[in-house]
Amino acid sequence: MVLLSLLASQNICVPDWLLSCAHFCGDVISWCFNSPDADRTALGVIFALNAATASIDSFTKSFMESMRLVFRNKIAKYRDPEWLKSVGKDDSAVSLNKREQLANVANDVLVIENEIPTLFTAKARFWKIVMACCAVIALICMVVPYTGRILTLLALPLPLFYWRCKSEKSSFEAKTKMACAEIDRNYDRIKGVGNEPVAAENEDVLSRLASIEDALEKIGVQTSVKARSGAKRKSSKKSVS
Amino acid sequence: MREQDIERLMEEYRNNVRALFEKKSSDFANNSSSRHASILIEEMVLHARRSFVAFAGRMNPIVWNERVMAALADAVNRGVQLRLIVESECEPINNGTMPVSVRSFVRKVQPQMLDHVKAAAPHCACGDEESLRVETDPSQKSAIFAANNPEVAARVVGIVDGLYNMGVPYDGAA
Repeated sequence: MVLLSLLASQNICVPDWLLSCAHFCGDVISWCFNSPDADRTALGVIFALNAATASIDSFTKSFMESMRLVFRNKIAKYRDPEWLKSVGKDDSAVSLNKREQLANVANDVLVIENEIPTLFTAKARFWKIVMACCAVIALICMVVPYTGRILTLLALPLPLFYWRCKSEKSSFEAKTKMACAEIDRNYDRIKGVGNEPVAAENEDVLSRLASIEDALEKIGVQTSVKARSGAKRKSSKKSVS
Repeated sequence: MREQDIERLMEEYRNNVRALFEKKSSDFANNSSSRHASILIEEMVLHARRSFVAFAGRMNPIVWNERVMAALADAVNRGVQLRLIVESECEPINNGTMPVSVRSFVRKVQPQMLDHVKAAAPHCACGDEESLRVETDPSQKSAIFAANNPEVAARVVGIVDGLYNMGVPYDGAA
């Protein structure tokens, strides 16, 4: 804390949250060692733990709800009957391509929709268990004198738990953002009228197959088309001679 | 999105594939998931009257599922000539989902050629030398499909036949 104050006095930028955190830690440490008895300390620990548990609980709930909302909006877009009408209804290969992409997008949404709440619930449950264990220990220290002071010091890393939760949130948000961007790209591609070309031209495919035939020939596999064309070449050479 | 919604989309996809067969369309369509591949192969087998050939890797059970196996068994009963070549293992045979009547048409690549074949040949299938499906990017599971394109289909049959003729019976020694 002294170091931070020194940095701040030298006009070196120190984040507000870091200063607040340092002040809080300083207060807790001084209160802990000046406390007249262990019970008060233990009560302080319980209070802190309960507050942390409640904040993490509400944090995860609000985060999950916001994620659900994001996906509900995404999915609503794909359930829009007007939009569905715009996806090719004729019998062409172009229409088939659009429908295939639509199904893939739907599948992506299904996967994400299931994945995010499951993963996040599992993580949140883990932190809730950690908090519950801490609360039980705090209760024990209420009846065992003086352990409260030590546990108060041990409870100081609590902000780390919160920070950990926050980093989980960031990673989920990044994942959600990427998934949404992918969904949007697919959506734009499908929605565009007549912008989905036929997958390939005959010439492209034939030249690709020719290179496959060459590669197979090199390893001793005689493709029948190659054999036929080879026989043709031989017979035409004979007739010329 | 519910599973039923996806099923509905898959059925729509299947109807669209059938429409392409009815129109005898030679245009290429994309296929970029195992479920779509399964629908395409099943429809190719169902529409085959003379022959169905395929080079199918390990025969991924998601693609070569029970519906496809039933279609293959039906094709054998109709007198359709099957030629199926796999890389080394054939999962539908190993897990017992391939009908006995189909098994005798399966061959595998000679073990000493396996690595070269894997590197050189994409998974592909062809029905009646008309319909075809050729994998374009195995990592993305993407492929192209055409319902009636004899020019390209003949080349695909050539590739599969080349591999099939060099292959060994699935249960036999190399």
